[in-house]
Amino acid sequence: MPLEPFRFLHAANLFLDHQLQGVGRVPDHLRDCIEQATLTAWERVVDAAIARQVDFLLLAGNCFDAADHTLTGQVALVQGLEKLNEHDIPVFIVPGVSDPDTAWRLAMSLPDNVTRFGGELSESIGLSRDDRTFCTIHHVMANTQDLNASDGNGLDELAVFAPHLAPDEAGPFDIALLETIANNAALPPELQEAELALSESRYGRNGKLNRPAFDPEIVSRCPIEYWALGDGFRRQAWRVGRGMAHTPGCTQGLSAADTGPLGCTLVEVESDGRVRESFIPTARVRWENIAVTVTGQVTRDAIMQQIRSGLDAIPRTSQDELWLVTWNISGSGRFYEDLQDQACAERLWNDALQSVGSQNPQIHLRKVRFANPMDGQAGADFLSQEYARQLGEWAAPADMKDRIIAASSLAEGPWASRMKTVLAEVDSQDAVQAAQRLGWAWLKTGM
Amino acid sequence: MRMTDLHVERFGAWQDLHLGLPDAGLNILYGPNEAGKSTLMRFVRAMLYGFPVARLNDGTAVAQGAFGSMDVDHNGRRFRLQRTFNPYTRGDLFITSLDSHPVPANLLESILNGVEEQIFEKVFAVGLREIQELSTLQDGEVADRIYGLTLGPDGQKLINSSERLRTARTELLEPTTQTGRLVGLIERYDTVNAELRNQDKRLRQHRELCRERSRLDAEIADHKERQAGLQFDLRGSLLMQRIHGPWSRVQERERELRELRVVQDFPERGVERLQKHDQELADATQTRTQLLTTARAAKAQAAKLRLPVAYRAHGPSIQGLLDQRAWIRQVQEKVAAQQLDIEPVKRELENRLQVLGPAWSPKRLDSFDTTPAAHFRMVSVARAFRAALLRRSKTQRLIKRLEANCGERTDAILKGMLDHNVDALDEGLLTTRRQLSNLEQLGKLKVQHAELQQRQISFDEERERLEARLILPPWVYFVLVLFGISGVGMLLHGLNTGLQLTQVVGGVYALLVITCGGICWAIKNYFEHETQQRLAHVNALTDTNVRKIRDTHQQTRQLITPDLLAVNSSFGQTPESFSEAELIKRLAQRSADLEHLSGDEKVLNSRRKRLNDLRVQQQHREREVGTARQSWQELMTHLGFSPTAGIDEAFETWKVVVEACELKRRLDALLRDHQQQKWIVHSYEQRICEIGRRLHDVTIEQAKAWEYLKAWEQQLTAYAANRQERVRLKRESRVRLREASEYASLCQDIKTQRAALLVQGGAGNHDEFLERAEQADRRIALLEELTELRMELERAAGSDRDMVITEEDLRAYQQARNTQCIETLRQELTDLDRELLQTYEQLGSLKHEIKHLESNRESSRLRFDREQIAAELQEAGCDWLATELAGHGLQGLRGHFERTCQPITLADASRHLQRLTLGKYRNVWTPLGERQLRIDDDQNRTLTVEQLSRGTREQLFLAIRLALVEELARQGTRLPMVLDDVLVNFDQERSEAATEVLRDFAQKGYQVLLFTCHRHLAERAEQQGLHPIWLPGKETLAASVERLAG
Repeated sequence: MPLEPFRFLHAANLFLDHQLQGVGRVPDHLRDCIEQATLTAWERVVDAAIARQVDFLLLAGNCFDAADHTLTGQVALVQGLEKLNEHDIPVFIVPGVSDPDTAWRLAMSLPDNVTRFGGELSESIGLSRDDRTFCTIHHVMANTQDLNASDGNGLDELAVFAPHLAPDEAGPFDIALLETIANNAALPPELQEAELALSESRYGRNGKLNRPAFDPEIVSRCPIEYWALGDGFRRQAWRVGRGMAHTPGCTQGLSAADTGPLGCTLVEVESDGRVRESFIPTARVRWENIAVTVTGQVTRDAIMQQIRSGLDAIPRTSQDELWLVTWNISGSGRFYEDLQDQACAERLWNDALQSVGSQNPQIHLRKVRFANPMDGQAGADFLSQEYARQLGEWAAPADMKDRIIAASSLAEGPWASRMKTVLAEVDSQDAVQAAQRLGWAWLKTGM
Repeated sequence: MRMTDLHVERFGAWQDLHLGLPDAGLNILYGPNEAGKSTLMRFVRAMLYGFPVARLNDGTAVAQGAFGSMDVDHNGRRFRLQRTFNPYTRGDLFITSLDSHPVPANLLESILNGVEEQIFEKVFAVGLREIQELSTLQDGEVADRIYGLTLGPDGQKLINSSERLRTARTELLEPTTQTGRLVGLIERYDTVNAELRNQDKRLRQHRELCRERSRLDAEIADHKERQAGLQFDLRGSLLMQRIHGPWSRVQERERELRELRVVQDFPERGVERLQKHDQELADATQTRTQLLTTARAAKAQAAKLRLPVAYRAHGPSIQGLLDQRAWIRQVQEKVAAQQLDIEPVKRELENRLQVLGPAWSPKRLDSFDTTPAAHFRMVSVARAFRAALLRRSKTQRLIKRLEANCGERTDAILKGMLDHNVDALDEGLLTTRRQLSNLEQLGKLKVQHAELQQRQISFDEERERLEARLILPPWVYFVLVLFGISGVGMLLHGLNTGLQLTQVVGGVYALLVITCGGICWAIKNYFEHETQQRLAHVNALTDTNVRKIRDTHQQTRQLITPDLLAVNSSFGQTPESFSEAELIKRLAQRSADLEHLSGDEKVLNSRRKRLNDLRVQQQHREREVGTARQSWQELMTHLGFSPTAGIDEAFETWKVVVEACELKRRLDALLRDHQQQKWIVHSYEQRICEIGRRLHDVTIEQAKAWEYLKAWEQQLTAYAANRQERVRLKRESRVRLREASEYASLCQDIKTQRAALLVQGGAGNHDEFLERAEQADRRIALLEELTELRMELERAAGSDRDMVITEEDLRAYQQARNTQCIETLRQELTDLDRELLQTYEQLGSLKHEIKHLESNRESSRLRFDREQIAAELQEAGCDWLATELAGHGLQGLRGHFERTCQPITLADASRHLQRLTLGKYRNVWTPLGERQLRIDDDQNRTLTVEQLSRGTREQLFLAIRLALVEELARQGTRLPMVLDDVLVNFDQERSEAATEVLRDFAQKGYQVLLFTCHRHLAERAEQQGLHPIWLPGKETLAASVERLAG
């Protein structure tokens, strides 16, 4: 029997009113744009759902960050849901790691069109049109397990419990909506003995996502056509058993790691069961990287041309309002050394942008990063070589930060613990490179 | 430099001591204590730098009477340095060469090579005291040589980098003073976090407000439900109250209707109609009677009025005259006024005619053409005539002005020519210019002549000076001759006397004279040659100059012509009266004046030509005036004016004629109008007379016509009033009679209708009819009332369809109890409304508060700020970590540098120290930028100087001095090293090691004098083949002194 065609929107990681990290100093006129980026992205999700007349909307976790205690985010969420309610669009929400079930219980009351799973395994819900069920949504739970701390990537192992669903109980089209709970949260009793359909896959907030490894034997017994995942900040899709799994990524990138266009996914199910997914951009602010190589013979105009080419190479979407660009400079030579003066680099960047003409979207240089300066100094003088060797003795050990604090004048004072907290967010490699640049500059000028 | 022998004639305790120093590098000099080893060391120093200037307590110098010498070998040559005591200096030094070559200049400076005495004392000639004290190595140049004259670029970079590291650390975080970028950022972060925690309250407050809103919503719903119940009860009670009244009244009316007798077909509004008929009948009868009475009275009154017949026929004509009377009066007044207007016009016309003359009459005025065309023709002719006159007078004025101008210019030119005494301007101008040019040329030649003369004088002076230099002073010849005579004399005297000495002296003198004479001649020739060349050059220049002077003089004479000589006389002066400059000035002025006069002459010629042209033009203008005058006279004749009249006069006459014509036309119009008005009045009066004749049959005078008309007017008015009154009375009589007839018919109709009504009501008379009517009306009223009550009951019951009321309820209804119940319900509802209102107000306030909270974006702003600060903090943390890493890297680099990149002096010292300490201490170094020594031992420990034992410290300082001597040698300074008992504190092993080190050191070419009081050292050296020198003991010294005294 042919399926009833339908379409739905799959979004996750709204992180409403969560503020973008590592933006750097921004001029006042960009502040509102950045400050309300996540809210705008959510509005665009709602507008897309209405404009495309979807049958329902899936919000697969992390609608907000409970640690933010944001009222604005909750209000925006409810307003968006009410708007969807006015258009009779049902919404299915599962909590994520950042917005656990407990946080939802304290949040504002939701409109009638919203079905919120969470906390415990919920009954499956069938959606029907003209008294014919065209889709069934199953609540599936996953558990994260912290990896060892030395990994440094903040990746979590994810254990997805296969739903208790027999093949003969399958509907015309079955969707598994995945709820991820933190490792320390209690599992419902019915999941204690459940099979793990997906394990040893890693989700991370640093933009790194390994493809989840579904157990083919278990998955083949689960009549799921669409696994709606939420965690993971990168948009990905892959075949799983008879269906597919998909995570739409963030609706708005939150840090420099979330580069490229971000948004949600429109899933269209044809009458023959084929699933077609299409990307809908929603991010207002976009993070991007531009790489420029400076050689000894390069001219200023050539670098500006590289910048312009790099910017031109980035495909634009209609939703982009602002690009926060990280400029990665590598190379060697006198010009490269001059560019390591931040003001000089920014001046060059601005000159390059001015020659671009009208800026749509607006482009803001958030950071200039340099490749290791010593890499290009293989034949440098004795002092530089010896300095690099001495630095290497300190930079190599894993407990570098603790050793540095212990060896500093802070070791005995109250600042030690505070500095540990501050340094926890610092990338050791960046610091080592900065130290190399610093020492190299001092030894070079000698003034 | 190397010492080979020491000769101490007298110095300190030593006298007449001779020490030969073998060639071997290391010279060990043994002597017991107080043998004079230190004195010998000082002697060596004194030989090089001089005796000490110190004095004893009695004022005598320490080195009083000192005297000695030192043989040295320097650069392959041998010298003797001998120094004698001098109380005013540090001794007189005499240097003699011990070979056949002379002593080079600055020998001592060459030997010392810039090494000052202080350095020599601290490095080359050291005793036990110097070797034990670090301070001897910490000052001035010695320290510079130990620690390196400079740190070198790398060392400087390291020091500067350390300084920058310190600055960077301070900028980032200074934990002691709680300052730095990190501190500021952390404080800001904490502040924002605290504010954010406050913002968390907002979320809780919002939740509480939402809960309160839900509670209020529920309360409002409860109130509304209760309100609905009360309203339902109230509606029931009110409905009962509304229904019960009509229901009870319906009951009563139905009962009464049942008891009332039935009257059928009773006329509708029968009583009213009957009463109306009765009233109409009475009114109609009374009105008819009054109308008949009035008609009769009017008829009788009209019969009393009578009217005259005559006025009936002529009344309209009289009335017509009366109507025109006012207009005729106006015409009369107008006639009188016109008469007054005519007289002034007539007088004015007469005046104009008198002005124009007897030839002018009113008839002629009528025929005179005053049209604009005639006036234009006259104006055209006059304008042409006047233009011709104007042109003629203008030409005449121009001629007069030009004639006067030409006369003035001619006079001025002639005066200028007379002033400058020229017959013709062009010729005079050429002459003046030539004279001026000649004078200028003459001036230049004179200046050139003066310059050449001056140059000639200087040439003469130089020639005189050069010629003077060729002459040797006479005393030279005198001295030479004197010496020559003396020499020859002495020679001859010696030959004569046989005295050899005299011969030699005389020969010497003679030779001396010959030599001096030769030298003088050679010098003279040498300098004279140069002077002769210079003199020849000056002579050549002088000849050239003289030729130029001659040429200049010749040119000057050629320029002074009679013409030029006459210049002065031309100004009326003698030839010597003016200077050349004055003459040039005056000639230039004359030239300018003549040029000006020449220009004036050209202008004058052009003016004369213009004058001739104007005179020809004047004749043409005269002809034009004649033609115009003839035309003008013809026009005057045509107009009737005087042919000789001028233009203004003619136009004045034209103006008077035009005014007279205008007056004539106006007078004619007035007279015509006057006659017409007078005729109208006359015809009116004739009509009055005619009516009077017909009316009264008498002839009325025209003068009295107006009186008759006034009488007729009164009579006619009375007649019209009587006639109008009579007509009115007749008409009224007829109307009243007709109305009385109509009222009679009406009375009959009313009677018929009344009878029919009684029959219809079933009554025979008026009273019976009234009784039946009353019964019928009551029944109808009851039925109507019943209908209305039923409708009212229906409406009351239908006002609330939801309510159901039964008959039993109505019967059981009690008014008072129901009213009380309504009041109670209303009170409750009022209370409930008030409560509901309050709840709504609370809810509104709550919603407003919630909206306010929801619209507040402070939390977002703060979190954005926190992220910004966190980013900055992360950056600052990265900077701090990088700075600390860089600090450690720099520290390691510095340590490595300090140990591996030390000055060469310390490197050499390390080598010597290692040998002196038998490998115990292997490295001597100094921290960057500091003047402190560090010593690494064989266990990689770093020690300071103070941490070393006394012996080791002395070994260190010896090693440093050896290194310094090597360093100085590399710079070209090789001086002997004198060590006075420096090994006293060394143990046996290290003493032997030190001896070996010194021996090896000496084998490199350095001379080392090691004084020691340890015999074993000397004996050991002897065993090693070093041949120590055994200094004489104290007794030996005393014996020497006694021998010297003896």
